[in-house]
Amino acid sequence: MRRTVLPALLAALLLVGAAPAWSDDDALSLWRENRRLDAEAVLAATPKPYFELDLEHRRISLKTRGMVLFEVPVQEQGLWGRRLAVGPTSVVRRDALARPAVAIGDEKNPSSLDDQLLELSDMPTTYRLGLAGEIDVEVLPLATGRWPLWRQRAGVWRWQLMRPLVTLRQRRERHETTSVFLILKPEDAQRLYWCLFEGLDGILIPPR
Amino acid sequence: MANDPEPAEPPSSEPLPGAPRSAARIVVRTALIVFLVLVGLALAGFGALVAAGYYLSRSATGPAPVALEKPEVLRGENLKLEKKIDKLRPKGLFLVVDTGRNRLTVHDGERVEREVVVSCGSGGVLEDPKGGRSWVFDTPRGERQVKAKVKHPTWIKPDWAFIEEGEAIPKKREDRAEEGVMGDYALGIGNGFFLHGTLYTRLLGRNVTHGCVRIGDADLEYLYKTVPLGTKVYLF
Repeated sequence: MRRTVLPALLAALLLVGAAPAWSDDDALSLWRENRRLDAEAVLAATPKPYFELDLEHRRISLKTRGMVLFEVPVQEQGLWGRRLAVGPTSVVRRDALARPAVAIGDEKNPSSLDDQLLELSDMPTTYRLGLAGEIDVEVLPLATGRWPLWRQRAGVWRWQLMRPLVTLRQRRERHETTSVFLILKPEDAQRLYWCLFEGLDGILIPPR
Repeated sequence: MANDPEPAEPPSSEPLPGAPRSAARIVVRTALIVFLVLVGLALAGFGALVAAGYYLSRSATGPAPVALEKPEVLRGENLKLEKKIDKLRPKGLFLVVDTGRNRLTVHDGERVEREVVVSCGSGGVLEDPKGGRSWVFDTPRGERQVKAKVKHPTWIKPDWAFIEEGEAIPKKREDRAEEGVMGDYALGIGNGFFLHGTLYTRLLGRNVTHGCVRIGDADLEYLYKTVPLGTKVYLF
């Protein structure tokens, strides 16, 4: 009898003690989910595809009618500047920082069409997206090899160190923006560039 | 002379025995200390600026929930929204075309029935040398549906096909007809775009078309026999 009552009592005490803190967190999660679903219900009602930039779970997906068409994981991310809320956004600008590498066809092979086609492999891996709400997203490919990886990490640290100064300047100028950097696998970055064209609507989920 | 006072101590500027210190050494040390203090101050200043920027970023006046509703209310609302989205989700048989990877998938609900290698738009641009018109050969994105199913289709060549080949645009419709180039079947998805066959099967998997989706013979026959009119096609 004592053996069963005591653990049950302890468990009940733990539950009662944890309840207030848990419910606050739960309410915020529910509120964020509510904002996301609200935005998605509007977008899913249209025949156009839409994207979901989920910085909370580090993933980007393309969806249509509530169905995921494809999803890519974010390898590393950073976010600075004006705080963001869960809600709708859209691609207002899509720049390529590095020109797409268009392969040239073999002249000996007349059937080669490489120089005429624009394919997924021609898409850039380093580019910048301007999202509605003055959100500047920089996409970088995940470096491979020890030295490129260290160089990339150094770049990230430099960005983390220098971005607060931009915040200061923007505060002084009363014009605050948000900067996001995303490091993706090169093929994922290309796939995303292919799909995220200007005018595409989406949902932004910032980290908590 | 025996009462003469003892000679005075040497001037203090001269080094004392046991503590040799040159003026040059003192200057160098002082300069080093000043330099280090300045570097320290600069770093501290930079650090303070970074910290201030960091603080401003983190304490930014962003949109945040002003007053959260009760969890049970939010739960109820979320359930309603989820049901609303779920109603919009494609059900039954539908097609998805990935224009970047040149893949067409046949879905039955959440199950993928078949994956087919296809060819989608090249993204090329054609300008009419006579001016005024231009075409971008992209496969359209978004939701469409199978509006027509044709056996042994005849291609009615549009203007761009003649301009591309440097030929004069015919006035009669029958002069535009070309048979055999679209394969045995074609599924129309609206605005002149088709899922059809091809003579160039070795180019399947590449972006070579003028916007239509080219499919190999066996897969096209499967689609023609399986996909009814009105089937939704999602292109991205």
